[in-house]
Amino acid sequence: MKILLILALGILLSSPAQADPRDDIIAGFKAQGAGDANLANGQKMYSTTYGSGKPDTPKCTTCHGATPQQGGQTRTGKAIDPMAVSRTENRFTDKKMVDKWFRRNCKGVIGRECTAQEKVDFLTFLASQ
Amino acid sequence: MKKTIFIAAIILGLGATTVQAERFTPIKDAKILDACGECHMTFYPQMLPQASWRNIINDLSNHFGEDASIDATTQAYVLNYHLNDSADVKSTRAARKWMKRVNRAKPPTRIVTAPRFVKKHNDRDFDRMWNRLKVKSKADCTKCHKDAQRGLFDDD
Repeated sequence: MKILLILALGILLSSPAQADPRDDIIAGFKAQGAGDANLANGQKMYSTTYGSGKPDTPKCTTCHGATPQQGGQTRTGKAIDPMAVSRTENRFTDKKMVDKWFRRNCKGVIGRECTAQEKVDFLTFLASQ
Repeated sequence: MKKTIFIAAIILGLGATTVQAERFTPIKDAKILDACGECHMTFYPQMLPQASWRNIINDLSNHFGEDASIDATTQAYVLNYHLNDSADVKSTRAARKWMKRVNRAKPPTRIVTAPRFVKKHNDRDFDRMWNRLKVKSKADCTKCHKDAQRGLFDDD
């Protein structure tokens, strides 16, 4: 029992030291000028119909699930895992992927690159889901 | 005697299957699977001539309605991979089939407009399959051709 408690304590104490790769990614966006996350804005971005990007992709949910908890489908019929971190654990943990898809999809859906603030809002909202 | 006929029949049967089937070498290149396969099935370079691939892969920020741009190094790799195995530089049966009736002066802009694809997909049976299976896109080969990713396109 004592050993278990010590183990549990050890895990609790050590977890803050295990860096969440998302924190590093968010810190990177903050270094580019973003402030704290606005979750409501992240949620709004996910469900907004922009229509200012490419005609075939007016909103995130053209390809992603209607809610972050649902999976989606590419326009070519390939399955996309849910965007909610609770459903897809490794979402937003690879900086290269995060950068690649923000670049492509912000241009495709909104018609411009997303700001660092928008990226923080969007990512943090989906990490909370 | 009976046995000989039986074996001959098997060999003939196998031969017939080979003649009908469209075979491509399955794509195993990790970089291609990653760069192309993330969004769609990895299509076979032997389905289009070099000129088509050059046009497609040099315009990835306008990739059939989507921004599919990749970094310059990866793009060069993907292009080179396709050019080395295009329909007009290979002499496999599939490559020859896919080059038939291709207008070299006006190369196909995509696989679904290549003469071979049109020839194989425009009859009534195809439309019926299309509606029944609710295929989302003609680019989703595996919906009907279950072994497409393994390089096999039998008439399913």
